[in-house]
Amino acid sequence: MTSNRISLARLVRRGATAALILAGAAACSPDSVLNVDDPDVATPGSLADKSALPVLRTGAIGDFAVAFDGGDDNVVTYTGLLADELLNAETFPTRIEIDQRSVQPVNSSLEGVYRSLHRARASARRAADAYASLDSTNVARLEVLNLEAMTMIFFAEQYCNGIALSTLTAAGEQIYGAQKTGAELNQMAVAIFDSVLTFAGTSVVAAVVTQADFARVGKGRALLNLNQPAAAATAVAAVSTAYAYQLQHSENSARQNNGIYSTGAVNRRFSVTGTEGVNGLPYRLDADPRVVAPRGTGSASTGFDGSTPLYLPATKFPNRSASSTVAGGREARLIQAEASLIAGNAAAALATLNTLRTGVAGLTPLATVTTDILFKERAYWMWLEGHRLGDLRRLVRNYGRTVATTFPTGAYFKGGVFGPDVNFPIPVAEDNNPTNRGCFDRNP
Amino acid sequence: MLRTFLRLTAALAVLTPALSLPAQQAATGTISGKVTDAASGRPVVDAQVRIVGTTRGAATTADGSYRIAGVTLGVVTLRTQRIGYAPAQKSGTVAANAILTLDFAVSEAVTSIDQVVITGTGEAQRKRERGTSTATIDSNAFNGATVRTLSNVLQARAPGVTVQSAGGTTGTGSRIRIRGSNSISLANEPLLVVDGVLMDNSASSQGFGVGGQVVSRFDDINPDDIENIELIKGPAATALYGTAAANGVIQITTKRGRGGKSRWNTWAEQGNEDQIANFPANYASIGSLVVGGARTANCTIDLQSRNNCTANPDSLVSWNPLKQVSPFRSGRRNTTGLSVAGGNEYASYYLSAEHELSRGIVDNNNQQRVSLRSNVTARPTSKLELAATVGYTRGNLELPSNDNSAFGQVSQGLLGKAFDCSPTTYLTTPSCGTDSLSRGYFNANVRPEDFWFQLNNQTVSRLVSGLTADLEINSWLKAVARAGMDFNNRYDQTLTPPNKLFFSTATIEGSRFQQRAEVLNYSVSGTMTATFDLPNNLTSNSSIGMQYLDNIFRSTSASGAILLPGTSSLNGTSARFAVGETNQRVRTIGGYFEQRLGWRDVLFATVGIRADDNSAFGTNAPIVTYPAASLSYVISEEEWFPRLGFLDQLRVRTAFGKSGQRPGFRQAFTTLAPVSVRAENVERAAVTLNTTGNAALRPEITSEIEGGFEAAMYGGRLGLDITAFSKQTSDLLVARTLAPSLGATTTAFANLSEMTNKGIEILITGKPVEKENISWEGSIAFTGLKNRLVDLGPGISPIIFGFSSSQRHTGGYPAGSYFQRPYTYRDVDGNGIISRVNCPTVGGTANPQLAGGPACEIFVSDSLSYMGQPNPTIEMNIQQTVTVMKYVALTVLVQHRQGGRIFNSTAEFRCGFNTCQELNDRSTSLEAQARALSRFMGTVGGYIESAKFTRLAEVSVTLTAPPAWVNRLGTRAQNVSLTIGGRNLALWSNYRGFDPEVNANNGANFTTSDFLTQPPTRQWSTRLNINF
Repeated sequence: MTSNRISLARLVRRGATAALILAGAAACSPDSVLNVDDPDVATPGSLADKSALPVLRTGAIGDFAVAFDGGDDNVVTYTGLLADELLNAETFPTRIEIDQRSVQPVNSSLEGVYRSLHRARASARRAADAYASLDSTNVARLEVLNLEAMTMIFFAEQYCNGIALSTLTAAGEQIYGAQKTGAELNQMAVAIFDSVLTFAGTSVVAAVVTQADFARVGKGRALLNLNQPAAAATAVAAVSTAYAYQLQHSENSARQNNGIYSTGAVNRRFSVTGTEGVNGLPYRLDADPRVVAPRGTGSASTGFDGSTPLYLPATKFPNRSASSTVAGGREARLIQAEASLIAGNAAAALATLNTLRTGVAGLTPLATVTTDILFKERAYWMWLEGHRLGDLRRLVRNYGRTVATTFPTGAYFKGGVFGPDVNFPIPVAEDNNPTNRGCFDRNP
Repeated sequence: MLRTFLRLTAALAVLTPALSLPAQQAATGTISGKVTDAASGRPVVDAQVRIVGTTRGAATTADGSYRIAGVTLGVVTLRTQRIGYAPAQKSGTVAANAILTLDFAVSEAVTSIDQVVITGTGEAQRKRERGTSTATIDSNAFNGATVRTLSNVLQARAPGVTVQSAGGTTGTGSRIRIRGSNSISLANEPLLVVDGVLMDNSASSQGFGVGGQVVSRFDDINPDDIENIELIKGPAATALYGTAAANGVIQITTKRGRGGKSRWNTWAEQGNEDQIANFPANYASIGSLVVGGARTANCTIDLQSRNNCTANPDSLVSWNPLKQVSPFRSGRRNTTGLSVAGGNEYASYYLSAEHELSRGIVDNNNQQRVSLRSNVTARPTSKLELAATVGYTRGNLELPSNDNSAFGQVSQGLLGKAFDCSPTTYLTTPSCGTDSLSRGYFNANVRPEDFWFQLNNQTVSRLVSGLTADLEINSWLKAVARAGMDFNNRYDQTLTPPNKLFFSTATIEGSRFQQRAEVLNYSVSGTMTATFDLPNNLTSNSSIGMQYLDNIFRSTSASGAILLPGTSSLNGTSARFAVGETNQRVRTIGGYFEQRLGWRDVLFATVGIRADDNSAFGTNAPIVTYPAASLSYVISEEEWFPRLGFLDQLRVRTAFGKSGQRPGFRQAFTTLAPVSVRAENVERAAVTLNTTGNAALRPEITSEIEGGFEAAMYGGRLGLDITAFSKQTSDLLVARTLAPSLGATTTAFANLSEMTNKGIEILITGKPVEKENISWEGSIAFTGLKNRLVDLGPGISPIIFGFSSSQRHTGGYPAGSYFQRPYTYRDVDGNGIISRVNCPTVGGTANPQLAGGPACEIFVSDSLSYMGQPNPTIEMNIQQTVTVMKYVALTVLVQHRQGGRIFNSTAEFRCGFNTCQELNDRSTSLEAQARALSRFMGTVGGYIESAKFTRLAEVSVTLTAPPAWVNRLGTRAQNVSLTIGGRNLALWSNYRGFDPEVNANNGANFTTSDFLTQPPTRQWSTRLNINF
């Protein structure tokens, strides 16, 4: 080697010098060097004052829209597949499972929709909490409370008993909620709607009335689920037939697209049914202006699977920016009609239903009303609005029908037979909640 | 960017002589000499001759001579080395203005422990001084005719390195692993360092998707510029590289100039590639429905069993669109290149340029690439060496869709119909309906070739530059400073022209997307090394240094739809406009110290430590430290060691070290993304939860202990290198799935669990025959690897992923293992048909129940079973070269892999369309029928197949013109060679898909599936090389 021989003492001195240099370098705080900007996103801290409330409100609306009928898979299309509104026209096995009523907890597509719905709930709750602490009298607080309550109704109508409503706190703490039955969820929704109505009081401010009507219809829906038709009718009585709380969609981004249109006409994942699985309503086969579903043309004449004829709800959802109704006056009247029918006042029920039909081209007055007719009216008026699965379950639960005579059954057109599902299972991802025990049952 | 390259090169050209001027005025001496082969006396070309303890040196020229001028006066020791030869060392005294002559006669050796490698501190070190195993791939070990990319270079050439070719699409990357995978959620790609510059090593680098295949930034490096590659395999060796090196380091040194007159090298290559997979036909059974008697083209055996339909006589029909209306063409590759290297004792240079034009096997798969390199070294004083390296790559890649895409030729063909629905046949084919254009491809009423109208294009303009200053401060103190920049300007674009592709409303309307991205990696480091001789034959080598890394990703993207016919830019779009911007930055600052003690140049002990802080760590995470220690003992040089006749040299070594991997950008922080929401008839600003953070997030820490030995035997003709290692990754960064009920994001990162990788690497190198007219040399590289995920932690469910949710991370099993329900089958009624009728429902779709029908013949377990892991556990590669008459060399590379499994999702998915043979053809085996039916019963276990294979990976024949012939040409040419080479020439495997190496997710960590993937092609090339 060419290096010098040195004494140990000299080595120590040089080592000490090197150590001093190192210490000097270390004294320079690396924090400033490691500080990086992240201009693309906001942090929770940057949205902690009153000025941020409007974006929290619109965020809650946006998350709700994504879950309900937003750009990709959503509550409306999935409940439509599991019920009799839509059939699968593509190749994705997880969505075929849903259409075939054989949904596995590992179904990743279902997990996506389940997550979206929880995110919508959590987003609405975050916004509601923010309004409560920063601007508690703002009417937007009522709107986000209504949205939160609606997510609970959806969980109750669409999933098995055993849904947990957990919370991720601002500090990152994961608080797992107790699992709820559908009835409990409906009751929780009613409680929230009641709080909205209490807040609204007798206000005549248009924005407040709009949210109060939303709460009334939502409360009526929840009470109907709880088999309290009379109370439901009372709840919705003040809502005008013309009222509608609608979600607005847009072509602006995929997230904002009307997902019923984009996953149907664009992605060709589903087609409108006609008497699906023996029990299904005829929808596209009926010459009814409420359920117009002509066959697509050109490339949209068949589904993505290359073989299933594609029938699309082109009148109701003609494009990506088509709005959709979450709660409305028609629903209020239908609730009242059902209550009348159950109460034995068929004439009142018939009158209510015919009032709705009056003035609609192509609809003639009904001559009579039965449970089947009532539910068909509900199915057609609120077609692809996320009601049908809940209605089929109510028919079994509250009207004594059997699953075999209510849900699609028999041979499935893509092979095999329809399965037994009447609701969605809790996706396996919920097992990451250590308190989750899965579905209590899969009862209607 | 090209302009920048030219400016830098011009600046270097001006600066180099200027910097070298002072050296000519110093009082120094010169060393010169010749290096020859001890056996033949022939000159040894390209041998490195270095002054020990300095950075000074030279390479031998064609006549074996070298010259080092401006040498400090006094006693110097010179060491020469070259791959394939044993190193040699000589000393002498340099006098003022005199020439010291030192000649070397070196012996051939297949292995050497005195080969110099570059360490994490930037110091050149002999292998004998390191307690770790470092594999080296020299440029002689691969040939341009058989390798096209860096991935090709790495494939099957070193133990411990696994390169999985994912498919046959030109321009897409491979999965590269060194000693297995350490991480579940972070990248497992090794760090890439070229000439000391940290380079972007993204395995998936593109702004658009084409169904599965992705572009890898590893392959931006031109193999023709590579001098050698050092594979620093695990944390035991990479600790000083810090929070990025847990997956090993690929350290590339590009070619440099050498003393003497300019040496030109030019090459031209012409090659072709062809699709070789035996694609299956699509089948259908024609029959009549039992109810109503209508004709059906879907009368599968399954439907017949359940009395749904009756098959017509001779009802089985088939059509193979991929063969009968083949979309494939013969691919081509043309490459031309030129390099020049030269210099003197004050400065040297290497300049190269290469142009490559490749066209893949389908019309819309093309690549064009230009690579330029300028490496300049200047020695302004006898104590200072400055090296500037500049590499520039411009690539233009056009990618086809495939894998999980309905636009791909392979996917459309394999999921197509059993009928030729052409303009002339559809009227006579009832099953075609109105479809007159598909020719049996998947999408009805669309011509398959129309999908080529869709453009997926990536242009990269990448500049990698580095500056290294080596300064001998005095006889015992040396400093190395490095600054590097990797700047990649990436432009991704897709275009669907209007009224060309009648697939959907969106494709008819047309659309446009583009993203412009800048990927920058800055690295700055400085190291001081003090070397002392201590009493008692001890030497001390102390290094201290720091490193700063800055990784930046910026992109802007825009898209729009409804294109005006005749336009192809965003200007022509009229709807669905969207813009996006991404800004990501991660900074690392680290310091390191290493102390090595040597004893009699036989025993070496090294300890080191690195400390890092990083902007991606959680705010509560502390500075992390990575210690390292190693021991190397050249035991055969001890006097007490028995002299064994066959054993020339034996070294034993052991090492321990830790290294890390930082969390990804933003993983530690909770953030909300801005989105737009329409309300009250206007677009409004809104936020949605974007990431769920974890303030305590720390880096993953991988610790490794390794041990082994290297032996040289039989006069250097046989080498044996064995290393055993055990790695343990703790604080595993897991994208932990959050319970959906939290209403949060899908995952949040947490430090959980442990993963281990244990293995053994054996490298046998030999030269069994060395005669005047024939020689045979080769290597056998063996790797055994065992991966285990120790535990995910209490309360954490297995992480399920992959096609058909077939894979999972679960404690006690290899990461990414396949789990499915097993099944058995039995032809109960002996009718040669397996039926699922009257089988109970287990997990999947309910089975048909038919009173009086056949008994259940498939029995599916109600519980999941382990079905293997996606990565190989054993890999063996054999490379052999036989040289005849010195002028004809035949090289063969055989690759063998076993222990891994692959999900043949292609076959499974086809059966979902009822078009696979086993669902229609009664002559197929019972086993095939059972696995097809079981997919409808909740298990794809029958399609989890062995990925074991043996491949004739490369064969090349190089014909070198004898010197006399070259002289007769009357040119300045010194060497002319012609190589004919082939890749992927034969495959032996029981895998029932097309190729067990394919992967529809080559950019993913563990997801492994053959899903409608274009299999690897067969390639032949002819390459002419001329040196003058």
